[in-house]
Amino acid sequence: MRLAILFFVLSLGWTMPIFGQSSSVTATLSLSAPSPTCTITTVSNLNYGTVEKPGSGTGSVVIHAQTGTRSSSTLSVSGSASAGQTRLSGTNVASYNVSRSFPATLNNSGSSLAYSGAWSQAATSGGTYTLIRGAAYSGTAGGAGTSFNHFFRFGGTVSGITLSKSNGTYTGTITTTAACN
Amino acid sequence: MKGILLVILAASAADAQAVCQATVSRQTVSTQVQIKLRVPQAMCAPWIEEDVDSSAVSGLARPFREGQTPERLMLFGQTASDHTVCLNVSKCLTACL
Repeated sequence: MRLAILFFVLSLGWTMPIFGQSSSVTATLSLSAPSPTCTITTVSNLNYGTVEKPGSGTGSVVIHAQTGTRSSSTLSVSGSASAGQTRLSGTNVASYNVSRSFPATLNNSGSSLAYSGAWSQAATSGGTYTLIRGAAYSGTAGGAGTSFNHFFRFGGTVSGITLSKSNGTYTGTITTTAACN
Repeated sequence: MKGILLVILAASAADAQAVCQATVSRQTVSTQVQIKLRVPQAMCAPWIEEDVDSSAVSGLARPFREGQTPERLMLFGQTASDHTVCLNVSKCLTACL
């Protein structure tokens, strides 16, 4: 009996038409390299402290970009001084370029002092800084999946300090731009 | 089978495109530069010469700077010398300030 039923069902398969359709679904997936991001921040401003004008002649004061120390061969200096410092931090960065723009003068309401900037770079904040020649510095980092820090120190010479210069605070701005790839 | 092939092709093309269009991150920061100038500190009391009306001078005034008290300055307002102004304490302090 079972055999008869099975035979009957199979025979239906041969005799009845079967209707079928096929469709394809396209799946897409976009992969991209991790985006490089970098941040540059000011750690400290460049401060020469207080400088006593000379009774006669012209004087200058220096903050050394490599060491961050202040010196003047002729002028009396006081108050705390500090080199400027910026920190470049990044992730997924393969290479980077940092450029700076120094002001030519420091100004105080119509009076000005000549400023000649200098800068240096190091891999760690307290490491050995190397003087940078020119207005730009290029470096490399570990690329995707890594993060890094790099440090830049600013100093320079303020010159043309005479008795006739106005008393008070002279200021200027150093602009630093970082591009990371 | 065709569907799988499409997935592979799409993924490869997108990956290649991403590598060619690497993102650039750019940022700018400012660092302030500052210096403060002040007047030179005056030496308000030069040495008193022995021959300046020595009969009236009972001591020597040592040089002093702003904020310091003159030392052993015993004679004020005496004449006959370029040092007169510096024998006057109040005038010296005014000059210093």
